[in-house]
Amino acid sequence: MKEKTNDKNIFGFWLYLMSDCVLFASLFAVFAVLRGATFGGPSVVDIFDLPFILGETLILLTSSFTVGLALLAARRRRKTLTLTALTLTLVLGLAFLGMELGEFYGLLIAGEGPAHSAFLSSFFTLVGTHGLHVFFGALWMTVLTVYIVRRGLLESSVRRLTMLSLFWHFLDVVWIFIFTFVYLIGAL
Amino acid sequence: MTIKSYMTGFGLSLLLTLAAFSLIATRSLSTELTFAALVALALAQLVVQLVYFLHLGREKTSWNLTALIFSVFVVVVLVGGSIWIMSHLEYRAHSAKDIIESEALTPLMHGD
Repeated sequence: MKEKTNDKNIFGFWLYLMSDCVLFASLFAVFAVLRGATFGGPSVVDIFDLPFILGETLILLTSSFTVGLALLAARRRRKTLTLTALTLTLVLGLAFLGMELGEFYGLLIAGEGPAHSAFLSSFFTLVGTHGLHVFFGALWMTVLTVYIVRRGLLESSVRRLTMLSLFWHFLDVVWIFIFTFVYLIGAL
Repeated sequence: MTIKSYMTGFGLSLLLTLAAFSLIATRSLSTELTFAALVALALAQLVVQLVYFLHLGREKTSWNLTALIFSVFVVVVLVGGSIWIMSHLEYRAHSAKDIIESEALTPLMHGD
């Protein structure tokens, strides 16, 4: 199959993901150090809404599953199925983003924005950086979907979808650590 | 890369996620145990997603896996090292604060 010749590109993208991993690690390290520096303001316990975060988590997890299905369909050159799965993934991703923006907005209007304590700074930076990645992933997904609609499932599209799915899975992996170490353990 | 792989991964991840959230929702274990369990559940879900979604470890020699292992090493040093150093500094600052606020140095603080 022609996919073999794309291995180098995909490996290169994987290496990018590894560097992104280190970026998130440094943000996690900062959060770990500063999570107690609440300056009299809210701590994780005060901002943690369990059903809400569970909802976000399940949405993102499901979207990671559906992007996998999209890739499977694409490899079998099933265009309609691919587009359906991609659209579903995108909708879930946007739902996640909407929820996260809602969470941030709520904090901002309550006067608990990133400037108000070291804890809040590191929280907004870590969670916000993840959200920004999801945003760019969603943008990429939109462009790729339109491209597949107009040009069909070309080999280049399958290669790009492979990379996008790696990116999307990676974001769900990072989220595992966010919901565990920021929210759940913060609420202990 | 089969649909079964993705379904297994999804199912296991779902279970691990619900387990983690229910530990906090029900508070059924002690704080220390809950912490340990949450870490274990997170690492388990990491492995599940790496194997079933990202298909790592399926081939005999995988450069992807090699790159990941190296990155994990960097992450462990970065995060672990930062936490170690910063908590040690906090300990030192805290001890210094205790000494300064103790009777021994208080007269010097009032600048009479």
